[in-house]
Amino acid sequence: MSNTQADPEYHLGEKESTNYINASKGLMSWLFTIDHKRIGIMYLFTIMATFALGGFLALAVRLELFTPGETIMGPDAYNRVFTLHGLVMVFLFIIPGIPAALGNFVMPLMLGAKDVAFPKLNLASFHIYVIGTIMALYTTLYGGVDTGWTFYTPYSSTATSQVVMMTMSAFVLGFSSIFTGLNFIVTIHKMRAPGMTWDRLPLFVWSLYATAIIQVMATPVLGITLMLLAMERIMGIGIFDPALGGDPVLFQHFFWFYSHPAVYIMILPGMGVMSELITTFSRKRIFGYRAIALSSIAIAVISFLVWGHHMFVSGQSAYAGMVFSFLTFLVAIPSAIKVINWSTTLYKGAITMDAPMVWAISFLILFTIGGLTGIFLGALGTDVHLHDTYFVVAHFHYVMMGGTAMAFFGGMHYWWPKMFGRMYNEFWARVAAWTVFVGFNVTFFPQFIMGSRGMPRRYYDYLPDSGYQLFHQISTVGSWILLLGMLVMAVNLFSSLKKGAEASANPWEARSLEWLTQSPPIEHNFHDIPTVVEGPYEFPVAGAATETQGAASSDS
Amino acid sequence: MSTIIEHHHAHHFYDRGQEANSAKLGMWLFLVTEVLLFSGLFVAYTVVKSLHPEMWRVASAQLDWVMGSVNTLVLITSSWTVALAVRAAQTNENGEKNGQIVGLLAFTIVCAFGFLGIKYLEYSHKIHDGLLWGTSYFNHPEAISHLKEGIHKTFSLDVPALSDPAFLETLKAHAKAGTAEGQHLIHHYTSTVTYADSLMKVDQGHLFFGVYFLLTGLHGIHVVIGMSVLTWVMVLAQKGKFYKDYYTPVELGGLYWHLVDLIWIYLFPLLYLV
Amino acid sequence: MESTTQAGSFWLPPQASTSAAEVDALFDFILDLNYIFFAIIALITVGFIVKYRKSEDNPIATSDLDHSTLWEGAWAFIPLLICIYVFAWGFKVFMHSTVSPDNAMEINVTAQKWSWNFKYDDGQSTSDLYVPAGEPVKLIMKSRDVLHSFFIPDFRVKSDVVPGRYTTVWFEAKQPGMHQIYCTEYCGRQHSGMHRKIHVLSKEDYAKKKSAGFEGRPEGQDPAEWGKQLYSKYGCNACHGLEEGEVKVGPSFYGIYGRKGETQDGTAYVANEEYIRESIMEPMAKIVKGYAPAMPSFKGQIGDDQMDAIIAFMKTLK
Repeated sequence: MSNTQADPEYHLGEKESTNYINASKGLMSWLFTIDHKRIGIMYLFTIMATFALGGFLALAVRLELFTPGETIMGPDAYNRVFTLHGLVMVFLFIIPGIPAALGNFVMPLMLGAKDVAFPKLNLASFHIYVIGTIMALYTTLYGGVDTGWTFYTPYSSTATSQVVMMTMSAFVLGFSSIFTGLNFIVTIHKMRAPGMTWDRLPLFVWSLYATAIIQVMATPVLGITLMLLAMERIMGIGIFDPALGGDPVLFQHFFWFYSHPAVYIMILPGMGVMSELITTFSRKRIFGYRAIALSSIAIAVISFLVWGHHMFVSGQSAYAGMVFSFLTFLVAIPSAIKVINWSTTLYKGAITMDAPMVWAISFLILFTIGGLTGIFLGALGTDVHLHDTYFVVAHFHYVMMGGTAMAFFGGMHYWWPKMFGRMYNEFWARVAAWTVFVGFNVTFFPQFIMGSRGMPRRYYDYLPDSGYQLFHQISTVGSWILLLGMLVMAVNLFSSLKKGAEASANPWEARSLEWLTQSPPIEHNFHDIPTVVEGPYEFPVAGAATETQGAASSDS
Repeated sequence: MSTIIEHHHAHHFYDRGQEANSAKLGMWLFLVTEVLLFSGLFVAYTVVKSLHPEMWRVASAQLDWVMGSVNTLVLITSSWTVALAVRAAQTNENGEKNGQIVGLLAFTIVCAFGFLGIKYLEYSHKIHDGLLWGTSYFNHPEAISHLKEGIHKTFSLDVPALSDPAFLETLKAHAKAGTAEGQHLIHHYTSTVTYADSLMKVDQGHLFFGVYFLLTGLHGIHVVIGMSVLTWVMVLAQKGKFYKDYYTPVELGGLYWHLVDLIWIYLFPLLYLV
Repeated sequence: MESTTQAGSFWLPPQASTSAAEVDALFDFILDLNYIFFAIIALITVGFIVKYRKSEDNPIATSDLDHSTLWEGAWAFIPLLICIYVFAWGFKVFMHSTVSPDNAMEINVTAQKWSWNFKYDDGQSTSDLYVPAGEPVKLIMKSRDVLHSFFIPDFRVKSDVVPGRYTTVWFEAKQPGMHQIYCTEYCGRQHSGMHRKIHVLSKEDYAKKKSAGFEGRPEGQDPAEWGKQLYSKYGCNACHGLEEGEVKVGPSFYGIYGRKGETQDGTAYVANEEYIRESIMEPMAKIVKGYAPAMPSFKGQIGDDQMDAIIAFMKTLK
């Protein structure tokens, strides 16, 4: 067994011409693959497509809101569009997102493994995801749903729209998420390379582990909730509908018991990517490794205890509100620790603002804003005013898009050369990243102001003399800037596949195991599994007696 | 068939040990998800029961606890036989125990059929009596009268007297007055108020049966899934695939079956005995 | 909107209730926390990026500092203290806005798709809300169908309105004026159209108007004119257009009076006074062929005077 990057003798040797991409040809070889890298790539392209779909729905929403009254569509269409935007973005993009598209590819490599624990289950996850996606899109052809992605009863249990079909799509998608989570937990427990102790795991892996715990434990509750909603509609069980003796607020408890932990499924992997990017692009080991690793687990655990903060004005008791508010403040602390640790990592580093780092810094700034604005919502007194207004919409877009999506794009750029053996154009990549940063703020910052001034959410229309129009218009223009940035990014990345410069094994001179493989990796990742002797962030430090070679020299 | 087929572990694992341990951890995680799936229904049970305690008591008296108990015994037995099957696989040196594994699994599956058969009987009784969920319940007025009769059984009370509002008023007056005769009457009809409430709440009976059918229905689906899995394992066992160095599918199938049994062991007292 | 003649602050609407200032004080404190902590993180981040940019003079990291119990501990402990402080303050404000004073005047609120109905202790009901200034008011709210939410931004009050149970809010309006009421829980097609006004009147004006009937016909106004206002006020315009052949959800009112047609089960109808009254009170009784059974009932909301005005208005639609 060869040593790791610590071994000055270690080198990859000649780059082999056969890699995981050209090892076998034809559509069937991809659709029936059990190679985690191919599965990751298939997820990546599908998820980019669903993101684009969700994005176009958002553009339509923003366009409608440019003027009061009907702009491009009537209220029934609008209500379906904003609902679908939420469903697509939550279930088809951001929940699978980083774990499926990046984690699948990178995580086994980071562990020094040849694949995930259950490769066939991994393929099944992908196909279930595709089936769920098709079911959801099919549902929209039959009239779709207009309930909002949250399906609150009794509107969802009585409205004449395709609620059952859509909830069953989400139910199917849930299995994909559960199987991925299950697979990752077993892989991380059982398939680490020799010498890779828990405190030598890359933080991306820690974050995927914490995410997987939530996926396994929370998603089944969503499953049963959606099943109950479907049974309510089909069989009239009467559990949520007061006309039949049920309680509509009970649905909210069931729903948010999953959906709050779900938002941590969304953010934790993004935080994991952050740790990788910040270290590589400041060429420095992470500050506070243990704190960040344990914070991920703490967030996963506490996330199950705060669901009621979505329900402060729902009619739930003030006592419950008090408990949930208190616990919500607790869950903020681990995230705060992470943010300051990332910032502190930069201290006395050697920082380059390559495109992935632009995305990472965007995350840092935008997630901080999103997180801080959460304080307004966690505090009972202010939440009463802000709940169900655009303030909430701005808050969650800052954390989900300003956070996770930025991390997703950053990670995509970071691992792109590894995945495809090609480099994208650095100049246009930075242009795209900055454009998106600007566009994002122009789109969403005005929504904070609109919201605290009283503009309710999920509104098709607003009064012309209410004073909100200017904010809506600025926000809409922002969405066009976002579109521009995304287009530049997409064109850049796609054209690199054919025309990009050939990438070396370790273009970023990073220190984790995935950079020990060639770009793109061979089918079985490693000929010889490396033995790990140190952590993944052992960058050279001036003045310290460290090796000068290592992974940096392994050009092939 | 007294031979075994050698098992080769998948290429991404170092050895059979790593493969077997991974599979077991994976299965336990999957069982966790199943527990959480059912937990939602147990929460629904708790909420409905605490909101409508009188109705609950009357409606749940309609379930046949004898059939429920038999089913419990059947499932516990099947858990025992599947565990024996795993043991047989663990000690299967050269295929001499292939037949034993197959037989034990077959017996387990037969027990499962028995369970489903008894459930079929129960369900058909309920359907016949109109004791169903939601809108179907309201379509069967005889269901409601059925429950009202059941109140007699539950409270051992004199139905005709207590459905007379005038008599109820007399009782209440006695209670207020605190006379000796009143005390005697109250004592005799201790559940009077509860009874009167129950009469009113019988209209909510569909809530109980909704929960009953959802819980036992979802459990029944898992019984069928378990049977399918065990059948598949049994077929492979027949071919000699499982022996002391490789019995993972038998073990995992057994684990799943134990969970199915365990869920019933919670369901039974909660629905039938409480 | 008329109510913002006295402008609020940059972030918040005018403080039109006695509780608003308290909510705003907490909001402002949290806002300051936001500014401060954002500035700290941003300055540290940008500062370090500028100072420790990779260059010929700075090719690799110059420190292997990878933890500091003091720094990390402080960043865990101090935010925790601040969070507990904010939590407690938030809870206090919340309890004050949740628990109504004992002497509050009670008004019943009913929400339905897509209108509000307010009922006073003398039995009259209105579609806008009328309250006196300087007196605490408690709203006891329920929904007839799905979830709604009652929100007055200027008062900082909000509560979901739930079918099958009652929820409450209370407030005390500071002075006469008019403010916006929104529904803020998605309830279907016209969720964004379910807005009304709250009219705050001085105590004397309030007593006078209440005895006259808050929404009685304005003096001297033509009944058909009033009927036209009621057509908008009760939200009929959301589903019934006035143009010939216009279909929104229900039939157009163009030429309605005297119109002959067929109901769902094939029986003929003539749209006379009785028919119109029945359609408003019991909309499910005669559903016009080809239309969905989507109309809510206005029983208990539209009084006799108003009904006559609406019918008068319809007679003018030729």
